[in-house]
Amino acid sequence: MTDWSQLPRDVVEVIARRLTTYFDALRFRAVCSSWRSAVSQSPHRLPCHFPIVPNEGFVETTCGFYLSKRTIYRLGLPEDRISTCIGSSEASDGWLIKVEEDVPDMMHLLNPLTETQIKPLPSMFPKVLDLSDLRISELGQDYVLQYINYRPFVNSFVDAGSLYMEKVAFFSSNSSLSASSPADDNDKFALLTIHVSGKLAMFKSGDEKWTIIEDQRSPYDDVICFKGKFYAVDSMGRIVIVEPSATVTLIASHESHVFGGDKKYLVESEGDLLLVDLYLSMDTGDDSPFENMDIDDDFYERIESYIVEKTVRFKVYKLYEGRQNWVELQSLGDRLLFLGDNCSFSASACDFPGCKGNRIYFTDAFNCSNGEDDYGFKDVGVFNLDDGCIGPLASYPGYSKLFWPPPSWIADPSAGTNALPD
Amino acid sequence: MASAKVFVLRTCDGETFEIDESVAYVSETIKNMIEDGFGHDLIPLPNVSSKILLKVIEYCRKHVSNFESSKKTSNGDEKDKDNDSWKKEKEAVPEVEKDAEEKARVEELKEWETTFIDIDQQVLFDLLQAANYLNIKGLLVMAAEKAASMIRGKTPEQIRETFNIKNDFTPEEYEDIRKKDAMNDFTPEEYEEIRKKIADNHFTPEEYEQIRKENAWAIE
Repeated sequence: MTDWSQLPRDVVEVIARRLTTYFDALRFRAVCSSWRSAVSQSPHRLPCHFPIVPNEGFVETTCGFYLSKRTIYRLGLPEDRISTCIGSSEASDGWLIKVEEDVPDMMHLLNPLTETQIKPLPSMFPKVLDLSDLRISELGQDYVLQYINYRPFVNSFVDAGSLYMEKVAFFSSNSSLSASSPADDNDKFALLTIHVSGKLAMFKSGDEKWTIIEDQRSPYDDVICFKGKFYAVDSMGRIVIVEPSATVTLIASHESHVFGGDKKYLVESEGDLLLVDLYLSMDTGDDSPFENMDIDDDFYERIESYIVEKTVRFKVYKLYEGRQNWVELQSLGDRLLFLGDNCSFSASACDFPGCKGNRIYFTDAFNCSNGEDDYGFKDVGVFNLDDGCIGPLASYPGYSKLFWPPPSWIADPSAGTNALPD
Repeated sequence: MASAKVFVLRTCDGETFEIDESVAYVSETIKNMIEDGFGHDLIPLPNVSSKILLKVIEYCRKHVSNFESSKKTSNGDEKDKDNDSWKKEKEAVPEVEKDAEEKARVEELKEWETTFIDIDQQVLFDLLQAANYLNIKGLLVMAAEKAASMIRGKTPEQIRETFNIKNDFTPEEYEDIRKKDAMNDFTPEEYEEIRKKIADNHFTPEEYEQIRKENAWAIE
């Protein structure tokens, strides 16, 4: 009779080292005493707050940054509980959330795509969410730099206002180790972000200031850390790899050098690097409002309210290793892409019953606010690659439920457990 | 016509197996035993059954033949050519294959590995023990990865079910037991039951509290 709790300690340690996510390591420690003692350190979390980073070469009023890490999770009930929750249509639902840990031991829930904090929480929402009975998969992490602007007479940095947030790609030499081994001082990290000038800026552990990378390209649109390397894409669709030495190597571009849409995103999906091209159109809100208008002095002031930049479609391309060009993908299959303000990630539609794959969730200003504060979801849209339909999340009720409201089992994750007598 | 050196291994259930020197040397333990002079007679492996040793030998043979063919197809330099100064040593095969042949070799190996490690948790348990005792790093890592794949994404209760690990007491049960014990309220049968349960791995109430805290989010 095999007794896994009796496995020799060094073998248990080898197994534990294969678990790289925070939650897997945590759960490992909760199985039994001998497994817990083999993984003796508390699972290591990457630091969320970096020392104030010097800002020479950056905007004058900025006196530093702090790095904020957010993680996107899919929460769900484990399979055996789904089958016992007969009659509950929400049992197999997945809930997609983003959490940021600002104060230690206190999580903030964020809208996964916009920067809105989900606050205030509804009154019936549990103050403490017990995760031990839930399946948790990590879908991605995103990092933002929060600029700290100096204001005299303000004592705390955090208080000084952090209005400007910039996405960063983050690399840590510790991320290749298991979550169950602690950080040490030899861990190196690097950040890559897009400077206001459109150029790339890099900061590595041990640097005194940011390095602005001078290369003669179009302004950059997005950065990503993919399989341990930094990639960046410019507005012409040229993709480069950025080495720690700050050298930039072109690895792929579009065949025609004038490339399509208005904004490029890089996102990882199932181990592949995808480029998503967003097309905007200058659209007038109503039908031909110009026809009956007087071109008077006020016209040019009012013009902004008539012309609205709207997202009209997306094209998706895949980067194949060894090939110089992007190849257009006609379909994402079961995959869903999420393109947020400062993050991008992907998921599988089968994790979210009610959602079909081959869709892109994105942020846009839809101007269809009905005055309710809905945690920023009014600014989320869905694009269907099947037929090119696009619209705000509100038009697709089945697609918004993966975000909000949370499934009913959140209120009590351990409810419905089959307590059969032995 | 030189014949390769051959060694004989004997398992705990009395079976013997003949293997080539190169195959034997995949196990650091066996290698050390041979170098210490124990290779002339049977090499006894009292901790390994014949069923498991068969699996281990299969791995070792594949390891040797794979190494031979990789020397032919690649440039002989299997090190990661990336001179990124931060990359720590990895066990993985290099990502960019230069040759179609080399690519095919790697593909075939992956397929072989998937089939090889498609075993139930009982065999996996014994294989882990054997790989550890025989000090075969590659096999240990492969088996550990299989175990990890059976752990990932599961709740602690699901993990216990997968591996047949005894359930823990809740703090209430434990408190109840302590109270009853103090008053000596148990029948001899009950007491035996409890002693058996206590002998299995359980958490103290303090540990349990800590685990509860670790596995919960306080949300603002």
